Amino acid sequence: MRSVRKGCVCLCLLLATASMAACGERTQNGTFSYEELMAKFEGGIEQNATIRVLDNQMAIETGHLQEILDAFNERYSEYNVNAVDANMDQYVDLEQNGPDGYGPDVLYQANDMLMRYAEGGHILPLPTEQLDISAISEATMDAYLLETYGLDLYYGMPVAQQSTVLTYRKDLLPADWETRWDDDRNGVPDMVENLNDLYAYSLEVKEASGGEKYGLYMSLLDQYFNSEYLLSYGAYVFGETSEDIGLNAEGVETGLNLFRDMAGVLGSHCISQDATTQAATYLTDANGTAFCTIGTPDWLMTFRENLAKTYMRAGDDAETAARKAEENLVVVAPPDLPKDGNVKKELTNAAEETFEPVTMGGVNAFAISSYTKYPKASLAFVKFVSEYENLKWRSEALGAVPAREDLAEELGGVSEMLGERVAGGKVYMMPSTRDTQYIWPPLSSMFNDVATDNTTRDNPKYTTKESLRAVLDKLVEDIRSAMALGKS
Amino acid sequence: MKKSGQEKNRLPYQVKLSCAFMGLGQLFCRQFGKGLLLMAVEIGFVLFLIFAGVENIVGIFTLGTKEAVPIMGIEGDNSVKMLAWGITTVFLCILFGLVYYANIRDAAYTAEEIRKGNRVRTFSESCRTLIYGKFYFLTLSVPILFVCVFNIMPIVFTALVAFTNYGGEIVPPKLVDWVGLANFGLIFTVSEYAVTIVKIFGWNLLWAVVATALNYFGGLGLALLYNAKCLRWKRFWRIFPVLAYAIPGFITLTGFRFLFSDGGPVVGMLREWGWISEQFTFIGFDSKWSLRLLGFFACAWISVPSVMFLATGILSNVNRDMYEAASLDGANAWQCFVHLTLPFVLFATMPVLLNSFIGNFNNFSIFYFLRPEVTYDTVNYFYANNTDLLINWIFNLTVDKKLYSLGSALSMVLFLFMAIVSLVVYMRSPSYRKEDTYK
Repeated sequence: MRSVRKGCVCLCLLLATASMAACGERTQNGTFSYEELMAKFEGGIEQNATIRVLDNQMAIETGHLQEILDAFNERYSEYNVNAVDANMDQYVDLEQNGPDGYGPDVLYQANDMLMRYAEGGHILPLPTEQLDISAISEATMDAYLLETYGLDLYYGMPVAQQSTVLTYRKDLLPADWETRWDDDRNGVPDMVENLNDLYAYSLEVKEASGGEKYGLYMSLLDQYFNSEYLLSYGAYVFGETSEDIGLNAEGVETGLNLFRDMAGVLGSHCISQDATTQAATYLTDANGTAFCTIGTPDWLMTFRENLAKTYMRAGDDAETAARKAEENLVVVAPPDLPKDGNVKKELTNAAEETFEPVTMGGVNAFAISSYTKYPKASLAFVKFVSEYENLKWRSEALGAVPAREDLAEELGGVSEMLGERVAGGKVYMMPSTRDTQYIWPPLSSMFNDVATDNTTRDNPKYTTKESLRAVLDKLVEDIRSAMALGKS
Repeated sequence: MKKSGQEKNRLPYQVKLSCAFMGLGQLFCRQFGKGLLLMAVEIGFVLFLIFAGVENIVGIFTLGTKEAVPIMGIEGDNSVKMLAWGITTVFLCILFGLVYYANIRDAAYTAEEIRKGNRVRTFSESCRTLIYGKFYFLTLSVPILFVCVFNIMPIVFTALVAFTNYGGEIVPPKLVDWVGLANFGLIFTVSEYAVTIVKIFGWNLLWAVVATALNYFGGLGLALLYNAKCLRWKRFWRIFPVLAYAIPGFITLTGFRFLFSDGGPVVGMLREWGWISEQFTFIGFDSKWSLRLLGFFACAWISVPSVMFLATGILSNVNRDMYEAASLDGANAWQCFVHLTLPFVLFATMPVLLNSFIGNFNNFSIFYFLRPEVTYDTVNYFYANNTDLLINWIFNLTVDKKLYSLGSALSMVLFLFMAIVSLVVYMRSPSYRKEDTYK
């Protein structure tokens, strides 16, 4: 038995020696030229390719995705290409699934998410010379710019712009709004023009209905929409680098205090993520539970659909209901904010006392997964959906604001308004870096804390400028901690 | 005699041959079928080592040397897969070692049979012996193998991840590194983690003790009540705990969340009656003890019926003579409960109680469903809320924030704590120390 033991020891030593001897240096893969990086897109489309396309939920629900897939498959039928719905969660994590061989070939997401993938090498840089980007502004394209191997490369084909708009029900306006709520006599209700009047109107509606109805209804936890109150008063997310976090810049406490005041009138029911989905119901129900909400322009299609159903339940035929829903749901720019941050005061000269807000914005784009087996077919799909006519089709079907300036101009309305806001620097683009992921949880937590302070807290803590400043400083500290620990 | 003893101690040549190469000894014992099969196993294993095994084991040490470049389609090493394959190979090596050992023992047995002049078993006889003579071995080895594959290997994988920097920004295609005990150091030294772990651990311990006691005595109380002679329509009353038990836990918890939410009927009624202030909320950012108490209530609602059923069964076996003797001695109902019922039930249910404690310590669902909003109390915690248990925090860190290595390190600390507590409590319990009391 001694020899058996010796044998075992020898075997272990042999394996250990072999293992240790094989421990080599880690190798990097050098750099690549633009031509080398784009070589995979050269040549004809792969025959018999099946590409999985991940689009947003609205495109799937409205049937637009299937329509565009069918159109693409028909156009490229000679290659027998089959583009299909990836049938995955719209926020699927390519970083997690891609290396394991899952995930879509083509994906549609916002710039912060896509550029996180770009930094990790999970999506492909696109040959922009093959794409029609002439009508897309430089600022929009830059959301997808990343320096890789010393080259400026674009990782997404911008399709839609996202930012904040206010949607209200025209038929819920008070009968006397032209005399009571249109001081400047411009034919637009004051409560959708400035936040002071919206605050006053919300308070009036709440008191008159015993808390059953709302003027403005939205989630107080939504970091994306509520960051408007910080950005408008001087905040910024990152400066030159992500080391420079500007969410606690000088004067931002004024905006936070304004948010706190708004929370007081919106109430504790809005301190919930569910409030975002509830807004679609409250804005469109027969009772007129909410007069307006703040969200993204593409929500309009859902609102119209819901409101048309409400009218149909009340006895209207489908055509009349759809027409009335279209007429009564109005989308406007987010209301102006008071310069001094006092949302409770009555304005004497709105034009002088308010200013246009800065809202958070993003650019949604189509990108191609690095793990696709069919890069050429995937690129063909991206080219197809970004064609002028197909973008127009998408914008009309989904209510999305196109990234193409010429199309936005042609469509007019919300698209044009948002385009002007972007051009005027009133939309703060979500930083296209993976560090953006670290700002959301602390930001949401802070909004929760401050909103709670003016709704359900027995002893409010944030009643002074100093206390609000402290909470902003803590926010930045928390973001730094999360960033440091995430990278450790 | 001395010479004979030396001869006896000397290994037979068949054993030496089997030590050198599996199955060789068997071949020389004229057991060709078994010998060839064992040789095939060794050849297969050696080929596996040559083509993949050694590389897999090396992979555990290096966790990859070549980083992939997905945008160029350049394949590289996937550290996580290498770790998984490495562990699998180590398990295969251990399995091969066991087979090798069995092969040597078999050769020694056969050589001894030959020395005694007995007939050597044929291949079919060996198979029959395995099937009929060692049936217990055959039937138990399959579950053990499955336990290794589906339980032990994932646990080893998770444990090893705790010693790497996997997670956060270090995910494939980036290569993962071994970092030793750095993650454990982070947990206990970085203020964000240390403060959070101390706060959550204290609450978690309190939760586990109180929830277990509440469920246990609630269930026992209910069982005694249903056992009482004075109670009429016992079968009818027993329906209600069955209903509470039969409904899936997460549905019950979702119901509780709706009932006790700010716009829910309970809060509305309590406000209307003036029992709570307008500001009071059960489920809100500031809710701490109100939500914790709600958690205890919800947990009891879900768990008390199961304890009640268990206790009902145990109480039906109680020797009534003891109670009669006690009442003759002048014992009242309370004394009977404390000195007769409780020791008897405790003795029978201590392992269940322990299991319930562990289950409550790791009770993920209660606060996950009661407080679904994904906002964290970043003022006081790191990616956690004041009602989160350690298991919820680990979930936040791993699934939500993808800090896998930290989550693994925390899981290991949790596992060690629970293992020690469970062992100590069980060793000191009457179920273990006074095993024969009620036999």
